[in-house]
Amino acid sequence: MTPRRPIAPAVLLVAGVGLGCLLVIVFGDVLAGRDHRAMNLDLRLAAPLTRGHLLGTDELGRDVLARLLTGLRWSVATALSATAIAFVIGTTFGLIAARRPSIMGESMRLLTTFTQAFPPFVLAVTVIAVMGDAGFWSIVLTLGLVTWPVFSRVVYAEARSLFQRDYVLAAEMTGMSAVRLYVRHVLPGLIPSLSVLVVFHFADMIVAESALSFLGIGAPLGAATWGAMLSESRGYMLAAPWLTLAPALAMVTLIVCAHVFGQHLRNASR
Amino acid sequence: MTAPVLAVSGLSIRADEQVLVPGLDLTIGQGEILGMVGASGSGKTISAFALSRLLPDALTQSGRIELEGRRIDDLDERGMRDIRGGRIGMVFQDPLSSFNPVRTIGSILIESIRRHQRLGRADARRLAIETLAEMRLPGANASVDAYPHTLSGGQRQRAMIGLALVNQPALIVADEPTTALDPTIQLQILALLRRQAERAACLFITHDIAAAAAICDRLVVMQAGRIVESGAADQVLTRPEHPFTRELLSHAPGGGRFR
Repeated sequence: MTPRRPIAPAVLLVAGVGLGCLLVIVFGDVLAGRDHRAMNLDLRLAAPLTRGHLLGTDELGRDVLARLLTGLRWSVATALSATAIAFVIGTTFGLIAARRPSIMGESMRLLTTFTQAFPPFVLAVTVIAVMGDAGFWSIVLTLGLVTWPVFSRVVYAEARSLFQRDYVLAAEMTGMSAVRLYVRHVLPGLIPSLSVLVVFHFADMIVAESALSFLGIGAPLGAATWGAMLSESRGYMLAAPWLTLAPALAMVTLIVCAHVFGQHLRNASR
Repeated sequence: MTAPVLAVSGLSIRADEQVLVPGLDLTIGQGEILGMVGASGSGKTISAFALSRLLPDALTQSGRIELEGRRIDDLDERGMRDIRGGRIGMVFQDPLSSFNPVRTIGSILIESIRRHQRLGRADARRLAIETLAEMRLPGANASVDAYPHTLSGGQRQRAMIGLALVNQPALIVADEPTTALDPTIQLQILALLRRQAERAACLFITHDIAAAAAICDRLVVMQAGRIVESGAADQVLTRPEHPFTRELLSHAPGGGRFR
Protein backbone atom coordinates (compact mmCIF):
# COMPACT_ATOMS: atom_id res chain seq x y z
CA MET A 1 0.00 0.00 0.00
CA THR A 2 1.29 3.39 -0.90
CA PRO A 3 0.91 6.03 1.79
CA ARG A 4 -1.96 8.44 1.30
CA ARG A 5 -0.99 11.82 0.02
CA PRO A 6 -2.23 14.74 2.09
CA ILE A 7 -5.20 16.51 0.54
CA ALA A 8 -4.28 19.88 -0.92
CA PRO A 9 -6.26 22.93 0.30
CA ALA A 10 -7.21 23.70 -3.31
CA VAL A 11 -8.92 20.34 -3.53
CA LEU A 12 -10.93 21.03 -0.40
CA LEU A 13 -11.99 24.36 -1.89
CA VAL A 14 -12.99 22.66 -5.11
CA ALA A 15 -14.90 20.02 -3.22
CA GLY A 16 -16.71 22.81 -1.37
CA VAL A 17 -17.63 24.58 -4.59
CA GLY A 18 -18.73 21.31 -6.13
CA LEU A 19 -20.93 20.54 -3.15
CA GLY A 20 -22.35 24.07 -3.30
CA CYS A 21 -23.17 23.64 -6.98
CA LEU A 22 -24.90 20.36 -6.23
CA LEU A 23 -27.01 22.04 -3.54
CA VAL A 24 -27.93 24.82 -5.95
CA ILE A 25 -28.83 22.36 -8.66
CA VAL A 26 -31.12 20.44 -6.34
CA PHE A 27 -32.55 23.30 -4.27
CA GLY A 28 -31.94 26.25 -6.62
CA ASP A 29 -35.44 27.69 -6.48
CA VAL A 30 -35.59 27.59 -2.70
CA LEU A 31 -32.12 29.10 -2.26
CA ALA A 32 -32.80 31.97 -4.62
CA GLY A 33 -35.92 32.79 -2.68
CA ARG A 34 -37.81 34.13 -5.67
CA ASP A 35 -38.76 33.41 -9.26
CA HIS A 36 -35.97 34.26 -11.69
CA ARG A 37 -38.57 35.42 -14.23
CA ALA A 38 -40.42 37.82 -11.95
CA MET A 39 -39.97 41.40 -13.16
CA ASN A 40 -40.22 44.49 -11.02
CA LEU A 41 -40.09 47.55 -13.21
CA ASP A 42 -40.02 49.86 -10.18
CA LEU A 43 -36.78 48.30 -9.04
CA ARG A 44 -34.63 48.19 -12.17
CA LEU A 45 -30.82 48.02 -12.01
CA ALA A 46 -30.83 47.94 -8.21
CA ALA A 47 -27.33 47.61 -6.78
CA PRO A 48 -26.20 44.46 -4.97
CA LEU A 49 -27.16 44.16 -1.30
CA THR A 50 -30.41 46.00 -2.00
CA ARG A 51 -33.02 44.67 0.40
CA GLY A 52 -34.28 41.34 -0.94
CA HIS A 53 -31.82 41.29 -3.84
CA LEU A 54 -28.41 40.09 -2.67
CA LEU A 55 -26.81 40.57 -6.11
CA GLY A 56 -29.09 43.39 -7.26
CA THR A 57 -31.51 43.39 -10.18
CA ASP A 58 -31.17 43.71 -13.94
CA GLU A 59 -32.67 46.12 -16.45
CA LEU A 60 -36.10 44.51 -16.09
CA GLY A 61 -35.95 44.33 -12.31
CA ARG A 62 -35.32 40.59 -12.25
CA ASP A 63 -33.30 39.20 -9.35
CA VAL A 64 -29.70 38.56 -10.45
CA LEU A 65 -29.04 35.86 -7.85
CA ALA A 66 -32.09 33.87 -8.90
CA ARG A 67 -31.06 34.17 -12.55
CA LEU A 68 -27.49 33.19 -11.68
CA LEU A 69 -28.56 30.04 -9.86
CA THR A 70 -30.99 29.06 -12.61
CA GLY A 71 -28.18 29.67 -15.09
CA LEU A 72 -25.90 27.33 -13.16
CA ARG A 73 -28.44 24.56 -13.49
CA TRP A 74 -28.69 25.14 -17.20
CA SER A 75 -24.92 25.32 -17.65
CA VAL A 76 -24.20 22.16 -15.68
CA ALA A 77 -27.03 20.23 -17.32
CA THR A 78 -26.02 21.15 -20.86
CA ALA A 79 -22.30 20.69 -20.21
CA LEU A 80 -22.80 17.29 -18.56
CA SER A 81 -25.10 16.04 -21.31
CA ALA A 82 -22.88 17.32 -24.10
CA THR A 83 -19.85 15.72 -22.42
CA ALA A 84 -21.75 12.45 -22.08
CA ILE A 85 -22.70 12.43 -25.76
CA ALA A 86 -19.17 13.29 -26.90
CA PHE A 87 -17.83 10.65 -24.50
CA VAL A 88 -20.09 7.87 -25.73
CA ILE A 89 -19.59 8.59 -29.44
CA GLY A 90 -15.87 9.26 -29.15
CA THR A 91 -15.05 6.33 -26.88
CA THR A 92 -17.05 3.80 -28.87
CA PHE A 93 -15.55 4.95 -32.12
CA GLY A 94 -12.04 5.09 -30.71
CA LEU A 95 -12.27 1.58 -29.26
CA ILE A 96 -13.60 0.04 -32.46
CA ALA A 97 -10.95 1.81 -34.48
CA ALA A 98 -8.21 0.66 -32.14
CA ARG A 99 -9.26 -2.96 -32.54
CA ARG A 100 -9.20 -2.82 -36.34
CA PRO A 101 -6.80 0.00 -37.15
CA SER A 102 -6.44 -0.87 -40.81
CA ILE A 103 -10.13 -0.55 -41.72
CA MET A 104 -11.87 1.34 -38.92
CA GLY A 105 -8.86 3.43 -37.97
CA GLU A 106 -8.73 4.96 -41.41
CA SER A 107 -12.41 5.81 -41.49
CA MET A 108 -12.19 7.29 -38.00
CA ARG A 109 -9.27 9.44 -39.06
CA LEU A 110 -11.29 10.67 -42.03
CA LEU A 111 -14.33 11.51 -39.91
CA THR A 112 -12.39 13.22 -37.14
CA THR A 113 -10.35 15.19 -39.63
CA PHE A 114 -13.54 16.17 -41.40
CA THR A 115 -15.16 17.24 -38.14
CA GLN A 116 -12.11 19.05 -36.85
CA ALA A 117 -11.39 20.75 -40.16
CA PHE A 118 -14.18 23.23 -39.39
CA PRO A 119 -13.72 25.71 -36.57
CA PRO A 120 -15.84 24.03 -33.91
CA PHE A 121 -17.77 27.17 -33.16
CA VAL A 122 -18.72 27.88 -36.74
CA LEU A 123 -19.75 24.26 -37.11
CA ALA A 124 -21.89 24.40 -33.98
CA VAL A 125 -23.61 27.59 -35.14
CA THR A 126 -24.30 26.04 -38.52
CA VAL A 127 -25.67 22.81 -37.06
CA ILE A 128 -27.98 24.69 -34.70
CA ALA A 129 -29.13 26.94 -37.51
CA VAL A 130 -29.96 23.87 -39.60
CA MET A 131 -31.74 22.17 -36.69
CA GLY A 132 -33.87 25.28 -36.42
CA ASP A 133 -35.27 25.47 -32.92
CA ALA A 134 -33.00 26.43 -30.08
CA GLY A 135 -33.46 24.31 -27.02
CA PHE A 136 -31.77 22.00 -24.59
CA TRP A 137 -31.45 18.98 -26.88
CA SER A 138 -30.37 20.87 -29.96
CA ILE A 139 -27.53 22.50 -28.01
CA VAL A 140 -26.48 19.32 -26.28
CA LEU A 141 -26.55 17.25 -29.47
CA THR A 142 -24.67 19.89 -31.40
CA LEU A 143 -21.92 20.27 -28.81
CA GLY A 144 -21.63 16.51 -28.52
CA LEU A 145 -21.51 15.94 -32.26
CA VAL A 146 -18.96 18.67 -32.80
CA THR A 147 -16.56 17.73 -30.01
CA TRP A 148 -16.49 13.91 -29.91
CA PRO A 149 -13.15 13.68 -31.78
CA VAL A 150 -11.48 14.89 -28.57
CA PHE A 151 -12.41 11.55 -27.01
CA SER A 152 -12.00 9.31 -30.02
CA ARG A 153 -8.44 10.50 -30.62
CA VAL A 154 -7.30 9.92 -27.05
CA VAL A 155 -9.13 6.60 -26.75
CA TYR A 156 -7.81 5.42 -30.10
CA ALA A 157 -4.22 6.23 -29.24
CA GLU A 158 -4.38 4.79 -25.72
CA ALA A 159 -6.37 1.71 -26.64
CA ARG A 160 -3.97 0.95 -29.47
CA SER A 161 -1.05 1.01 -27.11
CA LEU A 162 -3.04 -1.08 -24.61
CA PHE A 163 -3.82 -3.61 -27.32
CA GLN A 164 -0.13 -4.04 -27.89
CA ARG A 165 0.48 -4.77 -24.23
CA ASP A 166 1.62 -8.30 -23.61
CA TYR A 167 -1.09 -8.92 -21.04
CA VAL A 168 -3.88 -8.13 -23.49
CA LEU A 169 -2.32 -10.51 -25.98
CA ALA A 170 -1.88 -13.08 -23.22
CA ALA A 171 -5.57 -12.71 -22.33
CA GLU A 172 -6.55 -13.09 -25.96
CA MET A 173 -4.38 -16.20 -26.00
CA THR A 174 -6.62 -17.70 -23.31
CA GLY A 175 -9.53 -17.57 -25.75
CA MET A 176 -11.29 -14.42 -24.62
CA SER A 177 -13.69 -12.71 -27.01
CA ALA A 178 -13.03 -9.16 -28.19
CA VAL A 179 -15.84 -7.78 -26.02
CA ARG A 180 -14.54 -9.43 -22.85
CA LEU A 181 -11.04 -8.30 -23.74
CA TYR A 182 -12.33 -4.74 -23.83
CA VAL A 183 -14.32 -4.91 -20.65
CA ARG A 184 -11.80 -6.78 -18.54
CA HIS A 185 -8.44 -5.57 -19.81
CA VAL A 186 -8.63 -2.51 -22.04
CA LEU A 187 -11.31 -0.27 -20.49
CA PRO A 188 -9.86 -0.41 -16.96
CA GLY A 189 -6.60 0.83 -18.43
CA LEU A 190 -8.37 3.79 -20.00
CA ILE A 191 -10.11 5.01 -16.84
CA PRO A 192 -7.33 7.32 -15.60
CA SER A 193 -6.98 9.35 -18.77
CA LEU A 194 -10.69 9.25 -19.59
CA SER A 195 -11.72 10.61 -16.21
CA VAL A 196 -9.30 13.52 -16.56
CA LEU A 197 -10.54 14.17 -20.08
CA VAL A 198 -14.17 14.17 -18.97
CA VAL A 199 -13.52 16.83 -16.34
CA PHE A 200 -11.63 19.10 -18.74
CA HIS A 201 -14.22 18.56 -21.43
CA PHE A 202 -16.96 19.51 -18.99
CA ALA A 203 -15.18 22.84 -18.39
CA ASP A 204 -14.87 23.40 -22.13
CA MET A 205 -18.55 22.66 -22.61
CA ILE A 206 -19.52 25.26 -19.97
CA VAL A 207 -17.62 27.87 -21.97
CA ALA A 208 -18.96 26.65 -25.31
CA GLU A 209 -22.56 26.68 -24.15
CA SER A 210 -22.19 30.17 -22.65
CA ALA A 211 -20.66 31.40 -25.88
CA LEU A 212 -23.61 30.05 -27.86
CA SER A 213 -26.05 31.63 -25.42
CA PHE A 214 -24.11 34.88 -25.64
CA LEU A 215 -24.69 34.89 -29.37
CA GLY A 216 -28.34 34.17 -28.80
CA ILE A 217 -28.31 30.81 -30.55
CA GLY A 218 -28.10 28.66 -27.47
CA ALA A 219 -30.84 28.72 -24.89
CA PRO A 220 -34.39 29.70 -25.84
CA LEU A 221 -35.08 33.43 -25.79
CA GLY A 222 -35.49 34.87 -22.33
CA ALA A 223 -34.00 31.88 -20.51
CA ALA A 224 -31.72 32.70 -17.60
CA THR A 225 -28.32 31.45 -18.75
CA TRP A 226 -24.93 32.89 -18.00
CA GLY A 227 -24.23 33.58 -21.66
CA ALA A 228 -27.54 35.38 -22.09
CA MET A 229 -26.95 37.37 -18.88
CA LEU A 230 -23.54 38.49 -20.16
CA SER A 231 -25.01 39.40 -23.49
CA GLU A 232 -27.89 41.42 -22.01
CA SER A 233 -25.63 43.24 -19.58
CA ARG A 234 -23.43 44.72 -22.30
CA GLY A 235 -25.42 47.93 -22.50
CA TYR A 236 -25.21 48.56 -18.76
CA MET A 237 -21.61 47.64 -18.13
CA LEU A 238 -20.74 51.03 -16.63
CA ALA A 239 -24.04 51.80 -14.97
CA ALA A 240 -24.53 48.36 -13.46
CA PRO A 241 -21.27 46.39 -13.57
CA TRP A 242 -22.63 43.65 -11.29
CA LEU A 243 -24.80 42.44 -14.14
CA THR A 244 -21.62 41.52 -16.02
CA LEU A 245 -19.50 40.57 -13.04
CA ALA A 246 -21.92 38.10 -11.45
CA PRO A 247 -22.18 35.61 -14.35
CA ALA A 248 -18.56 36.19 -15.38
CA LEU A 249 -17.19 35.44 -11.92
CA ALA A 250 -19.51 32.48 -11.53
CA MET A 251 -18.27 31.03 -14.79
CA VAL A 252 -14.63 31.65 -13.95
CA THR A 253 -15.07 30.01 -10.55
CA LEU A 254 -16.75 26.93 -11.99
CA ILE A 255 -14.16 26.50 -14.73
CA VAL A 256 -11.17 27.07 -12.48
CA CYS A 257 -12.58 24.54 -10.05
CA ALA A 258 -13.11 21.99 -12.80
CA HIS A 259 -9.53 22.49 -13.94
CA VAL A 260 -8.08 22.21 -10.44
CA PHE A 261 -10.08 19.03 -9.98
CA GLY A 262 -8.89 17.72 -13.35
CA GLN A 263 -5.28 18.51 -12.53
CA HIS A 264 -5.63 16.71 -9.23
CA LEU A 265 -7.09 13.66 -10.96
CA ARG A 266 -4.27 13.73 -13.47
CA ASN A 267 -1.62 13.88 -10.77
CA ALA A 268 -3.35 11.18 -8.76
CA SER A 269 -3.48 8.82 -11.72
CA ARG A 270 0.26 9.03 -12.32
CA MET B 1 4.03 -44.26 -34.27
CA THR B 2 0.84 -42.45 -33.37
CA ALA B 3 -0.35 -39.39 -35.25
CA PRO B 4 1.48 -36.19 -34.30
CA VAL B 5 -0.24 -33.68 -32.03
CA LEU B 6 0.72 -30.81 -34.26
CA ALA B 7 1.31 -31.05 -37.99
CA VAL B 8 2.08 -27.91 -39.93
CA SER B 9 2.66 -27.93 -43.64
CA GLY B 10 3.43 -25.06 -45.96
CA LEU B 11 2.77 -22.36 -43.37
CA SER B 12 3.65 -19.06 -44.96
CA ILE B 13 3.38 -15.58 -43.52
CA ARG B 14 3.50 -12.41 -45.53
CA ALA B 15 3.22 -8.68 -44.99
CA ASP B 16 1.76 -7.24 -48.18
CA GLU B 17 4.34 -8.14 -50.80
CA GLN B 18 7.06 -9.19 -48.43
CA VAL B 19 7.28 -12.87 -47.54
CA LEU B 20 8.44 -13.33 -43.95
CA VAL B 21 8.05 -17.09 -43.71
CA PRO B 22 7.95 -18.80 -47.11
CA GLY B 23 6.75 -22.23 -46.11
CA LEU B 24 7.19 -24.00 -42.83
CA ASP B 25 6.71 -27.69 -42.14
CA LEU B 26 6.67 -29.00 -38.59
CA THR B 27 5.40 -31.98 -36.67
CA ILE B 28 5.44 -32.51 -32.93
CA GLY B 29 4.40 -35.73 -31.23
CA GLN B 30 2.94 -36.44 -27.82
CA GLY B 31 5.45 -35.79 -25.03
CA GLU B 32 7.94 -34.35 -27.45
CA ILE B 33 9.68 -30.99 -27.15
CA LEU B 34 10.62 -29.43 -30.44
CA GLY B 35 13.14 -26.62 -30.12
CA MET B 36 13.01 -23.81 -32.64
CA VAL B 37 16.24 -21.86 -32.56
CA GLY B 38 17.42 -18.92 -34.59
CA ALA B 39 18.46 -15.32 -34.37
CA SER B 40 16.02 -12.50 -33.64
CA GLY B 41 13.89 -11.74 -36.66
CA SER B 42 14.19 -15.20 -38.14
CA GLY B 43 10.42 -15.71 -37.94
CA LYS B 44 10.23 -17.87 -34.83
CA THR B 45 7.77 -15.80 -32.85
CA ILE B 46 5.42 -14.94 -35.70
CA SER B 47 5.32 -18.61 -36.63
CA ALA B 48 4.29 -19.40 -33.06
CA PHE B 49 1.54 -16.78 -33.13
CA ALA B 50 0.40 -18.05 -36.51
CA LEU B 51 -0.34 -21.44 -34.89
CA SER B 52 -3.00 -19.72 -32.79
CA ARG B 53 -3.91 -17.46 -35.70
CA LEU B 54 -3.10 -14.37 -33.67
CA LEU B 55 -0.93 -12.44 -36.10
CA PRO B 56 -1.13 -8.64 -36.18
CA ASP B 57 -3.56 -7.18 -38.72
CA ALA B 58 -0.80 -6.32 -41.15
CA LEU B 59 0.34 -9.95 -41.54
CA THR B 60 -1.51 -12.70 -43.36
CA GLN B 61 -0.90 -16.41 -43.12
CA SER B 62 -1.68 -19.43 -45.24
CA GLY B 63 -0.92 -23.12 -45.03
CA ARG B 64 -2.27 -26.16 -43.31
CA ILE B 65 -2.25 -26.50 -39.52
CA GLU B 66 -3.51 -29.69 -37.93
CA LEU B 67 -3.93 -30.03 -34.20
CA GLU B 68 -4.86 -33.43 -32.78
CA GLY B 69 -5.76 -34.58 -36.27
CA ARG B 70 -8.13 -31.68 -36.86
CA ARG B 71 -7.54 -28.79 -39.22
CA ILE B 72 -7.57 -25.46 -37.44
CA ASP B 73 -6.31 -23.19 -40.21
CA ASP B 74 -9.83 -22.87 -41.64
CA LEU B 75 -11.69 -22.58 -38.32
CA ASP B 76 -13.75 -19.45 -37.74
CA GLU B 77 -12.89 -16.98 -35.00
CA ARG B 78 -15.29 -18.56 -32.51
CA GLY B 79 -13.73 -21.97 -33.03
CA MET B 80 -10.25 -20.53 -32.68
CA ARG B 81 -11.17 -18.96 -29.34
CA ASP B 82 -11.96 -22.43 -28.02
CA ILE B 83 -8.56 -23.60 -29.23
CA ARG B 84 -6.64 -20.70 -27.68
CA GLY B 85 -6.07 -21.43 -24.03
CA GLY B 86 -8.06 -24.65 -24.37
CA ARG B 87 -6.02 -26.80 -26.74
CA ILE B 88 -3.01 -24.48 -27.14
CA GLY B 89 -1.39 -22.96 -24.10
CA MET B 90 1.15 -20.22 -24.56
CA VAL B 91 4.02 -19.18 -22.33
CA PHE B 92 5.28 -15.69 -23.04
CA GLN B 93 8.74 -14.27 -22.79
CA ASP B 94 8.18 -11.64 -20.14
CA PRO B 95 5.90 -12.86 -17.34
CA LEU B 96 5.75 -9.42 -15.75
CA SER B 97 4.25 -7.63 -18.71
CA SER B 98 2.11 -10.64 -19.61
CA PHE B 99 0.05 -10.38 -16.44
CA ASN B 100 -2.34 -7.47 -16.12
CA PRO B 101 -0.76 -5.36 -13.35
CA VAL B 102 -4.09 -4.48 -11.75
CA ARG B 103 -5.42 -8.03 -11.59
CA THR B 104 -4.43 -10.88 -9.30
CA ILE B 105 -2.70 -13.95 -10.70
CA GLY B 106 -5.63 -16.10 -9.61
CA SER B 107 -8.25 -13.97 -11.36
CA ILE B 108 -6.45 -14.42 -14.67
CA LEU B 109 -6.24 -18.18 -14.19
CA ILE B 110 -9.85 -18.44 -13.08
CA GLU B 111 -10.95 -16.42 -16.08
CA SER B 112 -9.22 -18.87 -18.40
CA ILE B 113 -10.53 -21.92 -16.53
CA ARG B 114 -14.10 -20.70 -16.65
CA ARG B 115 -13.72 -19.85 -20.31
CA HIS B 116 -12.88 -23.44 -21.18
CA GLN B 117 -14.31 -25.66 -18.48
CA ARG B 118 -17.75 -25.83 -16.95
CA LEU B 119 -16.73 -25.02 -13.42
CA GLY B 120 -18.21 -22.82 -10.74
CA ARG B 121 -16.25 -19.97 -9.25
CA ALA B 122 -15.17 -21.94 -6.18
CA ASP B 123 -14.15 -25.02 -8.19
CA ALA B 124 -12.24 -22.87 -10.67
CA ARG B 125 -10.41 -21.24 -7.80
CA ARG B 126 -9.53 -24.61 -6.35
CA LEU B 127 -8.19 -25.75 -9.71
CA ALA B 128 -6.16 -22.53 -10.01
CA ILE B 129 -4.55 -23.15 -6.63
CA GLU B 130 -3.89 -26.81 -7.49
CA THR B 131 -2.28 -25.80 -10.77
CA LEU B 132 -0.07 -23.19 -9.12
CA ALA B 133 0.98 -25.74 -6.49
CA GLU B 134 1.80 -28.20 -9.24
CA MET B 135 4.02 -25.56 -10.81
CA ARG B 136 5.89 -25.53 -7.47
CA LEU B 137 4.87 -21.98 -6.81
CA PRO B 138 5.64 -21.47 -3.13
CA GLY B 139 2.54 -20.69 -1.09
CA ALA B 140 0.07 -21.31 -3.89
CA ASN B 141 -2.79 -20.56 -1.53
CA ALA B 142 -1.56 -17.02 -1.02
CA SER B 143 -0.15 -16.51 -4.50
CA VAL B 144 -3.53 -16.97 -6.08
CA ASP B 145 -4.52 -13.61 -4.60
CA ALA B 146 -1.15 -11.96 -5.25
CA TYR B 147 -0.59 -9.21 -7.77
CA PRO B 148 2.08 -9.89 -10.37
CA HIS B 149 4.52 -7.26 -9.08
CA THR B 150 4.66 -8.91 -5.66
CA LEU B 151 6.09 -12.15 -7.11
CA SER B 152 9.65 -12.74 -8.25
CA GLY B 153 10.48 -13.26 -11.91
CA GLY B 154 10.78 -17.01 -11.51
CA GLN B 155 7.52 -17.23 -9.56
CA ARG B 156 5.78 -15.21 -12.22
CA GLN B 157 7.03 -17.51 -14.94
CA ARG B 158 5.79 -20.50 -12.93
CA ALA B 159 2.39 -18.82 -12.73
CA MET B 160 2.54 -18.13 -16.48
CA ILE B 161 3.27 -21.78 -17.22
CA GLY B 162 0.40 -22.63 -14.90
CA LEU B 163 -1.85 -20.35 -16.93
CA ALA B 164 -0.76 -22.07 -20.13
CA LEU B 165 -1.39 -25.54 -18.69
CA VAL B 166 -4.46 -24.96 -16.58
CA ASN B 167 -6.86 -26.34 -19.19
CA GLN B 168 -4.59 -29.28 -20.07
CA PRO B 169 -3.83 -28.21 -23.64
CA ALA B 170 -2.57 -30.57 -26.31
CA LEU B 171 0.14 -28.16 -27.36
CA ILE B 172 2.30 -25.87 -25.29
CA VAL B 173 3.97 -23.01 -27.14
CA ALA B 174 6.75 -21.46 -25.11
CA ASP B 175 8.15 -18.31 -26.68
CA GLU B 176 11.54 -17.51 -25.14
CA PRO B 177 10.27 -18.49 -21.68
CA THR B 178 13.66 -18.15 -20.01
CA THR B 179 15.08 -15.06 -21.71
CA ALA B 180 13.89 -12.62 -19.05
CA LEU B 181 15.15 -14.74 -16.14
CA ASP B 182 18.52 -15.12 -14.46
CA PRO B 183 20.54 -18.32 -15.11
CA THR B 184 19.72 -20.33 -11.98
CA ILE B 185 16.01 -19.63 -12.36
CA GLN B 186 16.27 -20.49 -16.04
CA LEU B 187 17.32 -24.04 -15.16
CA GLN B 188 14.41 -24.48 -12.75
CA ILE B 189 11.92 -23.21 -15.31
CA LEU B 190 13.38 -25.50 -17.99
CA ALA B 191 13.07 -28.45 -15.64
CA LEU B 192 9.47 -27.50 -14.95
CA LEU B 193 8.69 -27.24 -18.66
CA ARG B 194 10.39 -30.57 -19.33
CA ARG B 195 8.29 -32.23 -16.65
CA GLN B 196 5.02 -30.65 -17.71
CA ALA B 197 5.59 -31.32 -21.39
CA GLU B 198 5.25 -35.06 -20.77
CA ARG B 199 1.51 -34.91 -21.19
CA ALA B 200 1.46 -32.60 -24.19
CA ALA B 201 3.44 -31.60 -27.22
CA CYS B 202 5.69 -28.62 -26.78
CA LEU B 203 7.11 -26.06 -29.16
CA PHE B 204 10.01 -24.36 -27.46
CA ILE B 205 11.23 -21.19 -29.12
CA THR B 206 14.54 -19.69 -28.15
CA HIS B 207 17.65 -17.99 -29.42
CA ASP B 208 19.52 -19.54 -26.50
CA ILE B 209 20.88 -22.75 -27.91
CA ALA B 210 22.05 -23.90 -24.47
CA ALA B 211 18.48 -23.78 -23.19
CA ALA B 212 17.34 -25.71 -26.23
CA ALA B 213 20.07 -28.28 -25.66
CA ALA B 214 18.90 -28.76 -22.11
CA ILE B 215 15.37 -29.90 -22.79
CA CYS B 216 14.62 -30.48 -26.48
CA ASP B 217 14.20 -33.82 -28.22
CA ARG B 218 14.45 -32.40 -31.69
CA LEU B 219 15.64 -29.09 -33.03
CA VAL B 220 14.88 -26.96 -36.05
CA VAL B 221 17.18 -24.09 -36.88
CA MET B 222 15.53 -21.08 -38.50
CA GLN B 223 17.16 -18.45 -40.62
CA ALA B 224 15.24 -15.75 -42.47
CA GLY B 225 11.94 -17.62 -42.13
CA ARG B 226 13.28 -20.94 -43.37
CA ILE B 227 14.29 -24.10 -41.58
CA VAL B 228 17.91 -24.55 -42.53
CA GLU B 229 18.58 -27.61 -40.43
CA SER B 230 16.53 -30.06 -38.45
CA GLY B 231 17.03 -33.32 -36.66
CA ALA B 232 17.45 -34.93 -33.30
CA ALA B 233 18.83 -32.46 -30.76
CA ASP B 234 22.04 -34.47 -30.18
CA GLN B 235 22.77 -34.69 -33.82
CA VAL B 236 22.19 -31.01 -34.57
CA LEU B 237 24.26 -29.92 -31.62
CA THR B 238 27.21 -32.25 -32.09
CA ARG B 239 27.33 -32.56 -35.86
CA PRO B 240 25.86 -29.37 -37.27
CA GLU B 241 25.72 -29.40 -41.04
CA HIS B 242 24.56 -25.93 -41.96
CA PRO B 243 27.06 -23.07 -41.57
CA PHE B 244 24.43 -20.97 -39.76
CA THR B 245 23.96 -23.68 -37.12
CA ARG B 246 27.72 -23.78 -36.61
CA GLU B 247 27.75 -20.04 -36.22
CA LEU B 248 24.96 -20.17 -33.64
CA LEU B 249 26.83 -22.86 -31.75
CA SER B 250 30.11 -20.99 -31.81
CA HIS B 251 28.45 -17.98 -30.16
CA ALA B 252 26.93 -20.05 -27.37
CA PRO B 253 28.68 -20.09 -23.99
CA GLY B 254 31.14 -22.99 -23.75
CA GLY B 255 31.98 -22.82 -27.43
CA GLY B 256 29.14 -25.06 -28.44
CA ARG B 257 30.13 -28.23 -26.58
CA PHE B 258 26.93 -29.83 -25.39
CA ARG B 259 26.18 -33.17 -23.87
